[in-house]
Parts: sequence; C-alpha cells; structure tokens
Amino acid sequence: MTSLRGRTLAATLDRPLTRELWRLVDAQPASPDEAVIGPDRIGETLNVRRSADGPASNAIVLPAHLDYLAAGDIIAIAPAGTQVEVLWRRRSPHNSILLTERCDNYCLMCSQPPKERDDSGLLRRAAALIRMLPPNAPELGFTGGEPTLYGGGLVALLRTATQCLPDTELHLLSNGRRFADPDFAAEYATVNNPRLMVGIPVFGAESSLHDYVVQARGAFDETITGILALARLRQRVEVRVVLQKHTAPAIVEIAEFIARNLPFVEKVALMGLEMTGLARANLADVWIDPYDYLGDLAEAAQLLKHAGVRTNIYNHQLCVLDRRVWPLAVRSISDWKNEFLPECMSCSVREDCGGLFASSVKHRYSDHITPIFQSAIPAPPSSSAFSRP
Amino acid sequence: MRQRLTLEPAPGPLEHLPFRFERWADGRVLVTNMVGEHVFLSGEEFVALAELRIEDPALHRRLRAKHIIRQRGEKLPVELLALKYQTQHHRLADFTGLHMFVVTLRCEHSCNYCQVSRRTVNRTEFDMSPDTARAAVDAAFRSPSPQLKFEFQGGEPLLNMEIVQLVTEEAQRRNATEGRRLAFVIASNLALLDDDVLDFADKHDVYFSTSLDGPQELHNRNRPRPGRDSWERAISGVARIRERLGHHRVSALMTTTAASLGRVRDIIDCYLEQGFRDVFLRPLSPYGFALRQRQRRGYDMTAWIDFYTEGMDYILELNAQGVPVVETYSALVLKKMLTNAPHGYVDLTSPAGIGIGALVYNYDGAVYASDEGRMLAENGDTTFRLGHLAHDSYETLMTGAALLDPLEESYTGSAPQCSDCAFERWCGADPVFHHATVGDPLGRKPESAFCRRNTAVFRYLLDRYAVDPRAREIFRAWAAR
Amino acid sequence: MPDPTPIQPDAVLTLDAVAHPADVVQRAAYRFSDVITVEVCRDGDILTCKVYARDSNCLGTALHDLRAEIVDQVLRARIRDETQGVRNLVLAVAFSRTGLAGPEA
Repeated sequence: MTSLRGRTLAATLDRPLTRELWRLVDAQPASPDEAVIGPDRIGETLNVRRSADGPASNAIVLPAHLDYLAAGDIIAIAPAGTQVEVLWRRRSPHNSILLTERCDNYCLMCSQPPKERDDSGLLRRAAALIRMLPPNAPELGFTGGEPTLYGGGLVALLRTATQCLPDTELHLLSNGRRFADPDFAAEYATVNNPRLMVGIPVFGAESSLHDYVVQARGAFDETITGILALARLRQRVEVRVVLQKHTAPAIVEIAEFIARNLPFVEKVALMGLEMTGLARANLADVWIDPYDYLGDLAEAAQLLKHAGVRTNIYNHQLCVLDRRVWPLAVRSISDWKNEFLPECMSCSVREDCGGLFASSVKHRYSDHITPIFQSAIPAPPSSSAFSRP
Repeated sequence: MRQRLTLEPAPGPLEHLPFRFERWADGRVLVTNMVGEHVFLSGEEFVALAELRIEDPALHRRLRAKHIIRQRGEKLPVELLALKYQTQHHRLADFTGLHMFVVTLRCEHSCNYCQVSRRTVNRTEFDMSPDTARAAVDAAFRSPSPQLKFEFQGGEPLLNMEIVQLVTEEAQRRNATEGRRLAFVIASNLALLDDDVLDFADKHDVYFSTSLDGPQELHNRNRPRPGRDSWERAISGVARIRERLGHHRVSALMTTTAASLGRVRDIIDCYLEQGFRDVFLRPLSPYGFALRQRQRRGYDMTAWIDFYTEGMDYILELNAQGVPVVETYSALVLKKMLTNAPHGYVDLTSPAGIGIGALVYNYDGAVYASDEGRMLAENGDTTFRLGHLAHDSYETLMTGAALLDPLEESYTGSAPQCSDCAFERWCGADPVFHHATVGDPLGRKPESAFCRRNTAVFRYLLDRYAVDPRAREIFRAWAAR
Repeated sequence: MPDPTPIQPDAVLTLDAVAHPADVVQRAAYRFSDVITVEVCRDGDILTCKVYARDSNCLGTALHDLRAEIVDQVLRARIRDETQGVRNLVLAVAFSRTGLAGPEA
C-alpha cells in the first residue's frame, strides 16, 4: 500500500501542532491523540474537515482525494496543518507502514524506488503509530525500501508490535540479505512472535538472473543464505516472485528451485507487476504480457502446490490465468485501487476477479483482457479461495 | 551512478559439482546431480558441460540451478546440496520401521506362485507361540524408530488371530510409555474374514492388505482354494471392511504371472471396478514355489517391461480422462526423482532395507532380514537368517555378519556399475534378490533382472516427464503422496 | 591341475595405458559383461584387452559399444576425480549437524 498524502485545502490552527499522529473520531475525543472528523465541531480539539465542509477554526480541510477518511483512521499532519498523510485505514484489510526508502537492492521493477537519505524518522513514527493501533487489527505490514537496514532498530520495533498487538498478523517485507548475518538472524528470532512472517523476493534459480533483476551482485547468495538461516531458527518465511520480462520465462525453473531447495517455506506468492515507480520507468525492460506466460505460470503454481508449498497468485486478472489455477488467485488489489475495463462489464466472473491496478489501466495492461462467458466456465472456485493475502 | 549489471553471468571460472550421466539412443544425455535432480542435455550441451566451455547463458543458468556446476569456490551450492542430501538420509537413523510377524504358515489357499510353504489348515505346530510373539514385540521396540508398523503375514494370518491380537495388544501396552506412532496391517486373502476380526480391527485401528491379481478367472486360476472362490471372497471381504471400517482401510496388491501378461488393461479395469485407486504393477518374484515348480511359469523381464509400459500408458490415459489412478511403484520412484522426501519403501533403498528397514519374525522364533530372506529359508537357504529370538540378543541379530556383509556388499554407492550409474540415487540394493537369482548379494548388473526392471521404469518415467506436460503434472502429484 | 587349453580371443584391443587406465577400461567392459568378457593386461604404456564374445554375432556391435563406453568412462573418471573434494565437503556439511529439523524438507 503506497501511503497516500495530500496538501490540505485550508489550515486554521490556533498554534502549530505538537503531535504528528492523529486518530480520527466522530464523537467526543477520549484522548489527546484524537481529532474529530466531519463538519460538526465537538469540543475544543482539532477538527479534520472534508473538502466540501469548508474551513473552520482549529481545523484543517482535507483535499478531495482524501475525503474517504473516516473514524478509526489514523493520519499524520504536518505541524502547520498543511500536509496530511494517511497511515492507517480501519476498514482496509491491508495496512502497512513504510519504514524507510533506503535499500541495498535496486530491482528493475521496484515500486518504491530507493532514496539514499536518513529517514529514520519513519521508524520512530512507526513505533508511535503501533501504540495507537486497535488491538483487534487483523494484519499489519512493514515495508520499505529495506527495513532490515535498521538492524536492531527494526527488531525493537517488531518487539513493540508484538507487545502492543499480540493478536495481529505481522508481515515484514525484506530482501532477506541481512539475515545471512547469523547474529542478526538470531536477534530477529528473539522477537519470538508466532504471528510474524517475513516475505522475501526470489527472482531466479541461481545468482545470475536474480542478481540482474535486483541489480546487486551477491544478492542471491545472501538472500538464500538468509532464508536458510531463518528456517533453521524456525522463523516463518514467504517467498515472493514478481513475474516480469526476465523472471516469467524462468518461472518453472524458479518454482522447481524453491520446491527442491526451500520446500520448508510457509508460502509462495506469485505476483503480477504493478505499473509504478521503476516498473513504469523501465517499462520496455520489464513488461511482459501475462497471457504469454499463462501456461508456465500454471505449471509453476501446480508444481509448488504438489510440493506441499502453499501458493497464491496475486495481481492477475482471471482472463489471463489458466483456469486450473483460478483457485489460487487472490483478489489482492485493494478495494480503492482496482478498476475494470469496459470489456469487463460483460464478464461473468468479474465479482471474483481482482480487476486491474489503476496504474496498469493508465500505463500498460495485457492485450488479452476479455470477458469470460458463463457457458465456458467449469465449476467456479469456492469463495473461500478469495481471501486476503 | 550505479554500475548497471547485465544478464551475463559474473566472470570467473566454473567448476563441476558431482554428476553422472547416461546417453539416450536419440543423442540426448541424461545428467543427474549428487541428490538425484536431473536434466536432459543435447549432445552439444553435454560436451559444453564436460569441457566447461559453456557459452550459452541459458545453459549456464540451467546447470547452476540444478547444482551440476558452480562458480569456483561458490559456497551456497555446497550448502544446498548438503541439506538435500541430509534430508534424503535422515530417516536412516530411525532404523527399522517395518516389523513383519509370520504368525502361521497355515493357509487354505494353494497359490501357484506362493513363496511360503503350504501346510494344511490343521497343523498348529506351524503357528507362532505367545512367548515368541512377546519376544518379537520386545525386539521390535528395540528399534529407535518413531514409527513402527506391525505387519501380520503367513500363510494366512486370520488362521491365528489369537497371536495377531496378542501382538497388537502387547505393542499398544508397551507404547503407552514409548510414545511411538504404531500402525497395524494384516496381509490376508480375506477368505476367512468374519465379524470378530472386524470388531478387533475396528477397536485397534487395524488396516488390511489383500491380494487381487485381476479379473475373476485370472485371479482364481493363480490362487486355487477349496471352492475355487478366492476372488469372490476377496471382493466380498473388501466390501465388508469398507462398509464397517472405511474405504481406505483395505488396499490390494497384485502378483504378476505369465497369465497376467497381455492383460494389464483388464487388471487395471478390475481394480477400478472394485474401487481401488492404486495399482502396483509388480514383477514376478523369483523365490519359493515359483522356482521349485518344474514347469517354469516364469518369464523374462522383457515381457514384464511391455506389461508395465502398456499399463502405465493406460493409466496416464485414464488420468487424462479424469480417473485418478496411481501406479504405486512409479509413484515411489517419482518421489525419489522429484523430491528429497524419504519414502519408507524397504525394497528400493541403498543401503538395502534388510534388517535396518524391515525385520521378519518367523512363527518359529527365527529372525530374518527380509520377507524374501525368510522364503529362501523355507527352501533350505538360510543365508538371511539373522538368528533366533530365544537364543540371540538384539545386538547379535543386528550386528552379525549375516546382516552386515550383504548390506556392505550391495551398497550401490560402491557397487560396480551402480557407483557410476546416473540412476543410482533413485534405485536401491536388493541383496536377497541377487543372492536368490545369481548366488551373491550384488549380482552382475548387465545381467540383473532387478537392474533391467528399474532401468525400464526410470526411462519410461523420464521420457514421459520430458515431453508430456500433462504426464509431468500427474507425476508431480504422485510424487507428493 | 593342468592349465586348460588357451582359448583365442575373438578380438584384441590395444590402447594407450596412460590415456585409458585399466580401471576405466574394466568399468567399461563390465557394462557389457552379458555379451563379452574382457581380459585386461598392462605392459608399460600398452594396455591389451582380449575380448571374448558369448555370441559371435554380436561381436561387431559389442566392440563398437565398448570403445564408445571407454571414452565415457574416461570422462566419468575425470569428473569423479575433479569433484571428489567438493563431494566430500558436501557429505561433511550434510552430517555435521542436524540441519533443518522436523518437516519433510
């Protein structure tokens, strides 16, 4: 989830804000970190108003694209009230916290292109955010950049999350390289949270392909060594493979490699490209029409499934997937990001399909998006297959 | 500015990792790595590999992914090979998991391939005694294996249910303090199945394995009994077990005879009609009565290979039509080819499964290294008799030359031809078979029917896997069982 | 016991003993022991292989196959030698610790 931000339409504050994070409420605020959202002022606290509500005293006015914010959501507001950033949406099943934009890989299709600057403020903000989250939050992601660049700082954050949110599934995204350092892997393992899982991308069955895709020599060795270290420490690992121009033709080989060398991983995510960041900039270098790898993707997914590795396919429309793997397809594109094309309107499985990223619709999508007609479908996959990632 | 990496492999010398090869008639070369992963190369690709002059980046990637080559000094391939190798072997330390109890030699059938001395129904001096049974249970629990399978055989075990019950109850009593996973199977012709047996099986979670050679006339011709109704009784026994205990509580095994050849489709159809989804296309064993009979009903392996090939073609056809039938031996081989998982089949392992994988406790208290070893003894050859429960300690039984010599001599890692063989990781040692057929535990591979049979199976599976995506998927599903 | 009358071999192969060590040739010969038997003797740099065919009709094919197999066995010996070190290393690592405990990994 890319964090959404915007410039406020108006900010009429008594004094600069002394805190950054605010939980939105629609009733009398119960604590100093709460602000009332809506046109009606309640008490003297900060009021967050929607674009059509117009300005008021001790209030900020959201830009129209952030009008969807509602009670329970958590935002960051700049001290002068001029900028707003959405950090947590109560109604979304997939919230994640950006910890840093620094990274030691440089993937050709990276959706969060690395920036080399100290942004450790994000780590501190993350700790503050975690303390404000509802304990019944089902899931929380940690993303970057490369979060493990914080070393012990990341481990401390994960410990905080474990203490504050013992029932929340924690999903850390990492390139896995730092775990090749046995001391760091051991430190990570001391968090000892059975709901913590790390998602690690693998882009080849050997170093020349993987290192090329991530543009870092030695990355494959460190990543796989890291995965092995985590496995020895009984840590939960998900392997992610993004299907792009170079990885898609090798997907069966990559699946074979995972099945034979890393069969202990908890799950594998086979993911379609999102047209943001470097993927857009390097389009010619990374784009492949999913229809062209339809057969290989199905073979790879089935191979992993038979090897006992739980496998799911993300970010692919049903019409570009082999029917045999429809049960593995997840409607992962979050609600406010998925779009359909005009031709999708007559498709009989549209309800079960994740549709397309808005960015894909804008920049590049398969030439083979076509509606599926009822008579052509075998028994539909059970709805329980369409679960959260 | 970052230096842009290209898809070319990093410069630097390459090294071979341990690999073996076998040439195919069409010019392709099969290459297998140290843990039995395989790849087919063209003639030129193989030369490039042999000489380490690999210019094609795609070939480079394939060979590195399969741990056939590495960059000089690269550590990760060693780490991964070691993990895979260790996974494939880690069950060895569990030691003997299969314990066969020959509770009686008595049987009311007179199967013409029977590898056990037949005795009439009434001679109870061929029954295992309670003392022997208890001593055998003791011996079984000496094995450190976390799972112990107790398999009751004969003759016909239902003719000595008293001992079957004694062993089962004694094992469960012992297990209260041992905490192993126990399994009980009765290998029976089911002709004498009754409610008492079913009650007992229900109470103690006992499984059944029965003989089903094929359609009625084939089965009954192979397996005469008074009343000539072996097939009918087997089928009816199966139905009763399924109804009372569950569909999965009974499995069937066929024995192949000369009469079976040419009828593999009928046999498979019979299995499907009777609700079985697993068929084991076995070769004829060379032991016991089959050898003693003057009229050699045997056949050479060529005919069996045709039988297997036709059977497998049919099975793949059926699978393509949505009928999920599995050939048991092929599934086992595929598990070895496609995974690192240990498989627990004692007749296709190296070191051999004799003693260290399975033990046989005979009705008379003698202990044998394998079922076939016991059959040889019934015909006067006691080579594989390890000792006797009343006279020999567990240590004597398991560390005597009778067990250790054939284990060592048959070990494929050091056996002539096996040690070079591209299929070796998938194959096994069968010292008893070779002793019975050629008089030594190793045999000479070019003349070995065991080698011929397994080579045929490997080649069939490899060829289908390479060219047929649907067979590939079916095989991967089988390997996962 | 008197020596039996020496039987003449059906064919004799002469090979360079350095390029074709006796062990390699014997391994090759073993593969065809169902159709031929081979007596190998070395004299300095010459390796002499006396070939006896069980069935003289198969001799031509057997000799051709034998020569091809000798070439392959030379390669096998080279690979074995080259990779013996790393093979031992793999085995040492494999059995140096319990590794990934538990699952059928």
